[in-house]
Amino acid sequence: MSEPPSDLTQTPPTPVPAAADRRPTVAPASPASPDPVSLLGRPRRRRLWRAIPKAWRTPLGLVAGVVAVAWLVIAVVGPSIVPHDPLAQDLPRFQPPSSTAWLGTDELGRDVFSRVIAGARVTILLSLLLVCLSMLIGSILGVVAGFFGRWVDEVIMRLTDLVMAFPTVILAMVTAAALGASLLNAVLAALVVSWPSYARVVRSMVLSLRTSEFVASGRLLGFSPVRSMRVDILPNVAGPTLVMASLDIGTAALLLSGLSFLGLGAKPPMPEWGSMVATAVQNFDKWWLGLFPGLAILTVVMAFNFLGDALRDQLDPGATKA
Amino acid sequence: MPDQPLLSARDIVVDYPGTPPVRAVDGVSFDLWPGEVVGLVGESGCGKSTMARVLTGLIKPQSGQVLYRGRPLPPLGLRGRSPEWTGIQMVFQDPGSSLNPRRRVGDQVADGIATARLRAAYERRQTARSARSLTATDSTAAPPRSLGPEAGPVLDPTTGPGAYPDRDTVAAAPRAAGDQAPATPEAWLERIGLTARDASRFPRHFSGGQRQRIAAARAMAAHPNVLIGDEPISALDASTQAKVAHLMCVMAAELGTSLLFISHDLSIVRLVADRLIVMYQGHVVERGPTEQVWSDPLHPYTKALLGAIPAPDGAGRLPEAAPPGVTYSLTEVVRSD
Repeated sequence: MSEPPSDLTQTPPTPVPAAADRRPTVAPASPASPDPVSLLGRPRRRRLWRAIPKAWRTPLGLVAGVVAVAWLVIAVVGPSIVPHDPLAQDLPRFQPPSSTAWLGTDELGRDVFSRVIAGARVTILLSLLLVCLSMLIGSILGVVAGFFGRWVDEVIMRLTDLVMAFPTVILAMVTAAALGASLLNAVLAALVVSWPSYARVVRSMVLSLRTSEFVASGRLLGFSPVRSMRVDILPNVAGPTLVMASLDIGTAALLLSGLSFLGLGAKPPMPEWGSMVATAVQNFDKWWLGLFPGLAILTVVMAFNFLGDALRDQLDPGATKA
Repeated sequence: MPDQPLLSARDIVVDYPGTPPVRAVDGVSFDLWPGEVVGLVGESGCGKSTMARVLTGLIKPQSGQVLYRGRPLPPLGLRGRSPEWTGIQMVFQDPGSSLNPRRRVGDQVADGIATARLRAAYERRQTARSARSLTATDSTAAPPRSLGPEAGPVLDPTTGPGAYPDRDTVAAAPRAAGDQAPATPEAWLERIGLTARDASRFPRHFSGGQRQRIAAARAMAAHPNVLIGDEPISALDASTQAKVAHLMCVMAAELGTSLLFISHDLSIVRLVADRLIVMYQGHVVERGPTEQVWSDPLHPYTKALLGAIPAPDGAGRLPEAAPPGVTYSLTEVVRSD
């Protein structure tokens, strides 16, 4: 209970990307490199260590947390800290990384570093929006299906079968193509394909909880269906669903970037990682064009995946022992 | 009203779907009188637990009726249960799922207390309403004056007969009265041998026996008239079993609650029950006062059930097991005394 987990001694397998070193908001992150032996000796740092929930006291959890928070901060303050206007075409074209353009310039003479930073807002905030919306829609439909059963359940579940029968990206492409290429339509398209998994999982959890003994006890005590749902069922569904959502943020970022890569999301001047990678593919010898937005996608996806893992460890009631 | 059973099952038949459907309970009838402890025993699969679920309304029987205080009990559907029926409570079998893992146990016990309050208020209203309709029918010529001075003492919610109507009007046995029962979750937890501090802990912090005691406290906090224990002790070890069974009986006696104790373990049921009902393959095959059934079983199945209890006499004998393939008569034996 008092000692940190033994697996702390291993080095974090996530490579800290080169791009992260230059981010002004990334602090030295002292808790990210804990040495268990010295921690035991220093009460102040130990207290700091204890303040972190137990499930997060793993190298992966800490690195993921730091990276994810850093990206969120960049997404919020990004446009005001960039050294160049991400849309301005005033630099020489195809410049490799240098002291003026830290990550080089693209085919129109725009600063890649500024575009990667500005792209964080688009990708991360839209991924969060997408995940929140699909979790909301999927959970509501799942709860309704699981709770009311019968034909309501049948209709909703056959609908999820229908959506799930199509390959995700293809269906999103079709939807985006039908609605027209824009980022918001890409989010809508991704929403169409991403809610069914939530509906399925939530429904199955509600179904098994509904017949469980503590729910029956509550009903015998006179709980209304709404109260039973709010008090007994939803709190037990929320944990796994949140974990699923946090794991899904990475997938959503990939899907949105993928749609932009295919030209169905962000429109040309807009800085977006997927479309930046798409231009890089056409200029394959200019390695800095694709590497940095690609690394940005990689770090975001991995950080949120590890964050989801840590969240799952924390929310699992059996895992935390008092 | 003491001549009326509190809860009675009339010719209950339950089929579980399948090809062919499984008849779990086949025409079972029995009564539960106010204040008594009845043991319902039988082997696994004889329909005991199904009967428990029918008696609480969790299962709708194919045919037959459950009467609670003379009125048919509606099965528990999607809608919430009216306070009228919350006088029937149940303690379930599995200590792992009888409490909500994500809520503090104090809050869960508090639900029971809230239920008791709601029902007391509901029954006060009912009493007031029937008093009002009585005064209205007495003077048919005059318009009903429900708030007339003569109705005053009846309508007073604190001193009227409706203050604890579920206790006083139904109980045959004298009661320790509901106001001696604990009124806070902490007091309930102390009543069952935990500490007040435990109220803020989660079910995972408790052992199986403690969880069953908490589940019993939650059910009893609702001041039920009927408590049904569906094998509440079968998942516990021997010493904890006795503790939980004893606690349930003592609490039921304190509140004047009738207890239907379902178990396959005759040796514990014998210690707590006033009457025994023996079920076999969906039928009641024998019933009677505990000591009579225990010392003088009439039905061959009851004899076999009693013979299967291991005797700790040091002789190392194995209990007599019924030879495989033996079936017993399904007709109930009737005691002639």
